[in-house]
Amino acid sequence: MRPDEARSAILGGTAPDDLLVDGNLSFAPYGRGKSVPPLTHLPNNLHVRELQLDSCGDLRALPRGLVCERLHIAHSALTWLPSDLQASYMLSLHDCYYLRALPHRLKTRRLTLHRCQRITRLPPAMQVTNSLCVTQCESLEYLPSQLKLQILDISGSTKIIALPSDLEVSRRISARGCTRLELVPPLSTDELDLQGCIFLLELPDGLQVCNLNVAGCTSLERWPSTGFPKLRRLNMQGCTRLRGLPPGLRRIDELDLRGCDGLQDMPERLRVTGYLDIGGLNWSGLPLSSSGFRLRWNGVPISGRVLFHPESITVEDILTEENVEVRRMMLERMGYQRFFQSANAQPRHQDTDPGGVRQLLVVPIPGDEQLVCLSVQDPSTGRRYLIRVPPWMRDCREAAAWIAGFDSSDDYHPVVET
Amino acid sequence: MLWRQGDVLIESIEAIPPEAELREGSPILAYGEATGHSHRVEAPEKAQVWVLYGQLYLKLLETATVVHDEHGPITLPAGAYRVWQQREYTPQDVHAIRD
Repeated sequence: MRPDEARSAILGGTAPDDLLVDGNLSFAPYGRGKSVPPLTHLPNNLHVRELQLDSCGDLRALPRGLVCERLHIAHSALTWLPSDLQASYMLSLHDCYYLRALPHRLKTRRLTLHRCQRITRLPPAMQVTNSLCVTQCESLEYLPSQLKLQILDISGSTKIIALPSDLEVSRRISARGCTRLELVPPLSTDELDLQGCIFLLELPDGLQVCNLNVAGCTSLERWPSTGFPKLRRLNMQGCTRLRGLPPGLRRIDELDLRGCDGLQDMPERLRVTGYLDIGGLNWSGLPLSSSGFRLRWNGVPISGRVLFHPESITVEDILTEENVEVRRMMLERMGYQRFFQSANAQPRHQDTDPGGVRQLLVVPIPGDEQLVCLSVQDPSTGRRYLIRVPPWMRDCREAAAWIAGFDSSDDYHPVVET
Repeated sequence: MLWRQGDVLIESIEAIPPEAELREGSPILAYGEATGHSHRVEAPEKAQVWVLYGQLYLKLLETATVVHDEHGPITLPAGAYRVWQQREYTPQDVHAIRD
């Protein structure tokens, strides 16, 4: 049966059992005409290529004998799934708050559970062969053993304490924000993301990764004695307890050391080929052997002169820099006070906005029109920006409205600013 | 109604102009060339981005959230929106802020 015919028959309650649909079926409340009834049941032994059930709150159970390649269920009131369910390519469950368990013998290529808050464990006998994503499932405590996958994502599943000792994941593991994770086995994978795993004290000897993200792992105290021979990218932003880089590290593409206060300097023999970010570090320089990479300060490209010799930054350097992020960072390095003093800036007006105090500053430039800038603090990041406005701006409100594209401050009233 | 997320402004409008063209790809509203951060709709399936003479329009098929790595999220109801970036003055021209 054609999908549109099948859909009408199912919603009308006239669909027979053993229905074969030649295509995909989708049921969702939005976009449905008022005269169309809600989905309350599906026929037994329904065969369909892809089935989407989004916000079908009146559907209390899936039928027996459901066979599909892809099954997506979101915002559902289902409490269980039938044991004979077949979703050979993908089973995706989003915000299925009442679902307590999955079928014992579930077999699929890709399994996704997102915010399924009552799932405490996955079936030991299930077979997922490609990717397993169990994100923000805050009751999930354990992963089954004998998992062999390409991708594993357990980000935000905050009750998981350990990854299984026999876990095999070839491409990528993300455990971002797994705040109770303490144990990672000595596995081998291309990419390992452990950002925000604040209980993690150490990583095991024998762990092999190409890309490693341990940003925000504030308890991490030591590296494996074996180091990471294949490491190409390392993000250890905010790992304040680490006193050095992984042992044996000689060459790396990208290295993010933002806020690693325990690091005193760069090893003499380390070669970085891509970028090095040393935002927030109070280093006076880099080894003479360091060259050929892009230097960053908190994600913003920066020159060695600006970074290590801020006293050499001039007002002209800042005023001629076109990129607002680079200019902001140059201002930070130079210091606002010195900039405005050096530039002989005068405040024309001052008030407050959601970011805090803002000022309309005027810098007289001999032989040219006045430089007028609005100095504002970003309400989300707390960073201070300096944005140039036309010299005829009279106050901060008028300048902020102009920056937003309005010629009159009466027209500019944002309801939310982040 | 008007919202601001960093240097991106979003204003609700009645409808997207009929002459606008649908932009293929993910619903990224603006991209920071220095930081690599983007303003984007968290659930791509809920959003369409339309363009007319360089002006960006956003169509949300249902309630969705505009996210950014550094700025707070903004949740918007289904509807049509005009999206643009803050501007900056130079004596030579007025241009969108580059970040």
